[in-house]
Amino acid sequence: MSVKPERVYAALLRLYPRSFREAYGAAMLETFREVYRRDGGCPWRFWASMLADVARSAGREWIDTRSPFTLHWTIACAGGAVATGALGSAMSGAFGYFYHPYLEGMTVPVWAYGALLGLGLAVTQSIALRNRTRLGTTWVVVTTGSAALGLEMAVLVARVAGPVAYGVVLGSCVAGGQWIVLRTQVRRVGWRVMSSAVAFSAGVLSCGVTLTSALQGVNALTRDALAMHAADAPLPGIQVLLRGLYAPSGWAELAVELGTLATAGVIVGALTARPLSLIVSRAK
Amino acid sequence: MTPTRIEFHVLMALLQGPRHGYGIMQDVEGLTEGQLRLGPGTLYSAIKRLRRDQLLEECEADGDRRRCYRLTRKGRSVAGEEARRLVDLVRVARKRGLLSSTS
Repeated sequence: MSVKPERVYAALLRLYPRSFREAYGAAMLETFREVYRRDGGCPWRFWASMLADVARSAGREWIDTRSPFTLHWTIACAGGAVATGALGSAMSGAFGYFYHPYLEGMTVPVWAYGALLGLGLAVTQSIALRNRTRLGTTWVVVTTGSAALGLEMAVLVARVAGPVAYGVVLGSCVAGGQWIVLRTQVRRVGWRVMSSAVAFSAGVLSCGVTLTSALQGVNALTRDALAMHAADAPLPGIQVLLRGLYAPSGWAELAVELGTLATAGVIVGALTARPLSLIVSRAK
Repeated sequence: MTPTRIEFHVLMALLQGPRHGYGIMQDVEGLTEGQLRLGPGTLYSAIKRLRRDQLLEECEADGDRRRCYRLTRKGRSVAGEEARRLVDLVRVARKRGLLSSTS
């Protein structure tokens, strides 16, 4: 049974924002029919060009529908996560490069890496929030502190609950701290802030393995019982991924780690932007 | 207001009169000798922006049910300004020896 090209294209139209689809979906489908009649002879080339066209234009339409704050916020979250990962990897590399037997047994406390993570996120987020709220320094201090505390707690909980608990505990702590700050600006923020807390948890959870590896990277001379070893992974493909996430030893592996962090940052940013923009607009 | 390359080509296609979506696509392809082929997504995304900026408007559909578009006065004026800007740019490129005087 063959699928009608029109039905495939109609399904692809769902990738566009609803408002655009409602305004132009029918006309696009009509135009598609005519293009298919003319160019459909070579299906591979035709569908490759159609998919490229949909990806390009749908991406642009989604960006168009977002407010400048949403874009700035999402970029800030992704940038903060990547900057933190890059800094963690740089510290790890420097630690290995300047290794001396004197350093044997020396470790960086967990809360210090948590503070670094919080600082990275908070600085980029506060740039996105500047001129919009009067949070400024408070936002940076509270996020840094709650991330430091959160990571200490996360490690304790993770010893019992497993590595994934890093994401849940750390995310909840950071979101909780930021919620307290936002409450000083706006009253009765209600369930919208809860969605922010859940989004932070989900985003950080998605890079839980990276956090584990980053901890290992900072504490390069220790081996935590929670560390995930690439060789233990059941599938070769996952082994490659974990090797990249575990302790990047080359540019490609570093790119995998930073890519994962950027993705997590985008998830956090995209999910929290709407509730936060409502809060920010109320604060004005 | 500076239209993008694709928006400018859509405006150029409509200079000859109202067109529906597929007609615009064919016209752009003909004008550029096949160098610029618009997909439906790119075309209607450009149409949306041009309508928002009031450079083109929807017109009464003819016999068939297809939507058609035509230039507004503002659209014609913006297309003219852009064409003059491009001519000036070509003049500068010639002056600097980037293009020969015959090209």
